[in-house]
Amino acid sequence: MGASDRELWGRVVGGDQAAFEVLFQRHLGVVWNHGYRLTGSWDAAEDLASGAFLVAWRRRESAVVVGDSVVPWLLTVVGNLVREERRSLWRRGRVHRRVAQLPTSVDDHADDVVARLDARARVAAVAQAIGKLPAALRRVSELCLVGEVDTAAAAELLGVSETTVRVNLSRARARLRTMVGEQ
Amino acid sequence: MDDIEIPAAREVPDVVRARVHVQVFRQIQEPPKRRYALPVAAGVVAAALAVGLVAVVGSDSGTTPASGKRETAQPAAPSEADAANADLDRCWSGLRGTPFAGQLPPRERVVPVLRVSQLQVNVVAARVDGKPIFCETTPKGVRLSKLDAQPSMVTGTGTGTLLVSPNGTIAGVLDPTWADPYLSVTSRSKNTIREAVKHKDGLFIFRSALSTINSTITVQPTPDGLALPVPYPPDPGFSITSQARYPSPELTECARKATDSTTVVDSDSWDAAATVRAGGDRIILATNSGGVAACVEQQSYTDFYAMPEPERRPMLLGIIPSIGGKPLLTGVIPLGGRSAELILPGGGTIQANTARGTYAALLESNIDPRAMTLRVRDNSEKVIYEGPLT
Repeated sequence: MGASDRELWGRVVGGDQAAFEVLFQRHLGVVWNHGYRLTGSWDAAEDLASGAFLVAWRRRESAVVVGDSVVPWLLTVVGNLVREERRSLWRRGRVHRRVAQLPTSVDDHADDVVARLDARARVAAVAQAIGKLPAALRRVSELCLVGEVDTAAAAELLGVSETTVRVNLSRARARLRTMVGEQ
Repeated sequence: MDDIEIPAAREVPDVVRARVHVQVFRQIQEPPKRRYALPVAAGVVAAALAVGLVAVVGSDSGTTPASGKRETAQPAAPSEADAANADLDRCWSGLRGTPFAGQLPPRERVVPVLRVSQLQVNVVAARVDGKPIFCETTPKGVRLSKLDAQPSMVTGTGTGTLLVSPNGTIAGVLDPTWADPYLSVTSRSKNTIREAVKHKDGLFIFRSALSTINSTITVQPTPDGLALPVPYPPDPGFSITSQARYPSPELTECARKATDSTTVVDSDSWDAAATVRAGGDRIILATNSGGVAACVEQQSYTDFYAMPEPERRPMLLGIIPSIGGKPLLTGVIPLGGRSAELILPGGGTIQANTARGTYAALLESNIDPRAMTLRVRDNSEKVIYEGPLT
């Protein structure tokens, strides 16, 4: 068992790149998958993973370690980068185009291709629906539904009560069912 | 995630891991001047901004700092008993001047048992000489079950309701053999929530985020038990709620539609404020002396969001990013402001719809709010604020 996130982040705050490397290797998978789930694009997920770890390093002194994990905060950074990409004039449309693009590699099995297209479309539909939610609902959706962070950790990270997180989660689920069902 | 499909996590391919590693660590090791020229740096500010907005929209404390960190130095919370007694005092004082005053039991004989506080609604279960009574307080009203009312019993059980309020409270007496009951609410829009019931000494309280108006309520004696229909109590109890000073049929209708799914607390107390519509969708901001709300009407869904009074003015309210396909900005302006305009990065302006200290503006395209300036004028056209939207 290696050092905990909290221990490592204490060293990261002091500028220890080796400790950051350990955390990078430990959590890249979660961050990368979260990026995909929020965009429906593996290309975008890769950019988002890079961006999130860069932001994490630069903002290391203000990171929030929840319990003994830095993951909830990293997922919040990914969510904010997605919004920033969508908002920014500089990169406007890039994420959306990526969400809509077809797979870049096509193999010989038509059924498999169709299945992957369907899966990608479903992820994109959920991602787009989450992006349209009001801020409070969107944030708990990104953390708890997509990122699978538990409600207690999300509450601590967001600085609200666990009850608030659970209520917003209920409302988000209800809205998402309706929104995704209509797409 | 129920019926919303989230793909299973994949292992990161080695080639991806290597590429991301190079991207990250190469830039970490570059000098600061280059680093801060990168576009992702803007995300840092966005992070702080977005988390701060959550505090306004979703917090029940309203004190979350923009950093997202919870404040640790807070005054000691009053005990639950103190809080319950304060709520009971409010129920009694609120009803004192009403025609019901003579029917209230003496306050000093009311003994609190259980208190549940959620999103500005507090509910206290109490007993008066052994008889159950329930008090609900909201920012703009109070409601009290009748002491002599008979619970509406769940058939064949010792569980029954004494208070089901439009503010989302379901409360009553609990069968003494039920240790871990679960309650479900299915709204008229067919959305369902299911959560454990809070209970103590034979009394229970459930707070529903979904509307309890004409909804279907069921209870399970155990988490896996049979769901039993829960009847509504025949008597709504005593209540008083501050009414809107400037009732608006549009807002009333929007709030009514929202109750197909969502609980709208103090629904009659809101004055309509800034309003915009686009592509068949509409947002109506609303205010009362307790805070700010927004009723969002979309073709597929109508929802109502209430929040405590913002801690500063002006302040951007992150309610919903767009309506009718158009980016939307909403916020509050300094008191005394009568008009608000947004100054775009290129110098153009957008006149926001402004009313009762709120504004709403539709944009033609996504523009970073940080690149815009808000200008607010008073009745005499004097500029009383010009600066960031914050």
